[in-house]
Amino acid sequence: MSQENVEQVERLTHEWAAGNWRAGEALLVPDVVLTTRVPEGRAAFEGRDAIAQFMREFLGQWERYWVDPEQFIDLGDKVLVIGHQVGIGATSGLEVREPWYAVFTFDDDRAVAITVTPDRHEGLEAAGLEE
Amino acid sequence: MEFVLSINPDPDVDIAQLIRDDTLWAALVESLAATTHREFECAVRGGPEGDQIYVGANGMRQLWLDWLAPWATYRTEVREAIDCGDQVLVLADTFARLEGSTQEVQISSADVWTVRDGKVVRWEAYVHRAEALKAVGLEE
Repeated sequence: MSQENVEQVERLTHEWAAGNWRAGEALLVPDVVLTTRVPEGRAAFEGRDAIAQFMREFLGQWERYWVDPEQFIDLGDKVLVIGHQVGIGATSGLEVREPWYAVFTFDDDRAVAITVTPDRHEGLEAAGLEE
Repeated sequence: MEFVLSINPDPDVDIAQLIRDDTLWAALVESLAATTHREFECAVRGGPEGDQIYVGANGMRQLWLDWLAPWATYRTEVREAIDCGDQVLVLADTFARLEGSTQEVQISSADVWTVRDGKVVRWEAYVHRAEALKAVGLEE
């Protein structure tokens, strides 16, 4: 099952890379929890509606924002994606490129949690590969 | 096929160190000179940005440097090699440790090596094993 999960994550993150942020309904459980960085620190958003609201606000800050998922690592009930995220500021026009670690946690064949961070330590911790 | 397998690093070789260290890399280039074709190129197939092509020995180093960026150590053990005429499909397991981690993870890989005039002319690393099998006519 874990290899199938990796393939599902690959397909989903490639959809995100192409700008289709609505993708994922089949993979993510309805009450999936997204943990990510916000200006105030880290925040968790539970459920697709809360995540969609957060993403609308987040994407609104950028003229363009995309992810480049590059490597997919099968960790049993987790899949670690390593890549980069790139954004062009809506007002500044500046391009920001930084690492992107995304950890998908599975219960059977669906993802119940996603942790996204630019910080390697946080990414490894979420993946159970603590320093 | 044995010729292609002889080019693959031994399981105890840390490829990350081999590629990043200028002296080790220079020695590797010397040793590969006799076995690689003058038109040698390598590629990552099936990545999110499409196929990435790299030319020559310097291109191969760049491919590795790009790929190895997150990794502290990276070892590969060949599990199976399949003779496909002028191509060899190599299925391997990689054991690697991310920068900042103490734990090694395992990754499966599938590469296709193409031989011309007795030398390796192309090395293709496939993100998806099924695509590697398809490339050599061995669809699952």
